[in-house]
Amino acid sequence: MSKTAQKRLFKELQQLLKDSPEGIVAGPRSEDNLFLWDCLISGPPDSPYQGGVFNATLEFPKDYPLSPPKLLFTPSILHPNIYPNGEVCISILHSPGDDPNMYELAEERWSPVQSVEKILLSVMSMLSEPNVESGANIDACILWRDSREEFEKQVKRSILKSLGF
Amino acid sequence: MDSYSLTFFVIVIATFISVKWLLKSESHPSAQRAEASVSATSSSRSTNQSSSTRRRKRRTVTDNMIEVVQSLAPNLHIEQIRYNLEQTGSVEETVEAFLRGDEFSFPPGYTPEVPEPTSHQNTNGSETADPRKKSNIHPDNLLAKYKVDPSEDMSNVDYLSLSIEERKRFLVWQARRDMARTLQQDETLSALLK
Repeated sequence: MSKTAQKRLFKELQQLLKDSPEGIVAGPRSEDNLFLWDCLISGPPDSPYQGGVFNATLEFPKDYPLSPPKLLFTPSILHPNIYPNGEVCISILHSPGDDPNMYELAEERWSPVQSVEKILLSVMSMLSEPNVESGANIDACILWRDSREEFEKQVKRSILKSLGF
Repeated sequence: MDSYSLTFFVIVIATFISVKWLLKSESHPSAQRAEASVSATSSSRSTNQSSSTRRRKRRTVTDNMIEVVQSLAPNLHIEQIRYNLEQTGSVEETVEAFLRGDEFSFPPGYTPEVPEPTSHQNTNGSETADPRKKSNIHPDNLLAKYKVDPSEDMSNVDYLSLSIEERKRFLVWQARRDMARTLQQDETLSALLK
């Protein structure tokens, strides 16, 4: 099983290196472990995260691509769909059998036809359009819903600090 | 001949006992517990009658049984479940009553207002116990993490020929450069730095 996973990850990595979506860099943290990736994701334009760069790790299971990888922002960011510890809650990262919210469509969830590229693009679209209905960080949800200005200020301040300003 | 019939009877009795034991072990754990409580309270056959009438009022309810019902009926209060289980003595009957939509009453003399804050505290406790709720939200120092020097000029690099590490450095460097430009124009953004 692990051989299949390695082959597939290697193929995805080559694909990503050849033609990677703008604002995304992803690859294994070290050459001897293909199952732990380190990613950089740029904040999408026209969102509070615009201009920021966010670091995340992707941890692949040994039975990848049957099971989805785990995406963890390191450090976490203030966002309604990101848990305070950095874990991301989006449908593409949930396997069809495990639906914590019971309303995700099967085609939105993880299946072996998805890929790292699709996950990272989904994360980018999650950054520009938070889904407050399936919140992971309740405080962020409330802030986003009730005082958007303060939410954006906190996010921007964090981005400025991360870029050394 | 006599010893044959004796063996026959012994086998019949042994089979009967083993079948009975098998059937008993196949029954649900809650039923077993109820039976165990009966056998524990009844010391002899003569007192069995009186103990079964006592059992009707109050049966042993374990935390396990409450947990099973609570997982199916999370909106019910734990005391409502306990009181109903004490009356029915079996998880199945209580669950059936819940699915039928029966009213679950609180035990007599019980005021539901008092335990409200404790149940609230419980949910708070489970929140902090959830590792995902442990906050790791803080700004990262990307320049140090990826060893980027903002004064370096990387604008002429050929992105596709870069390695993964160099691409990351480029992305951070680019974000830093663009943000420096934005800061000069955007006053609300630069006000955040003060």
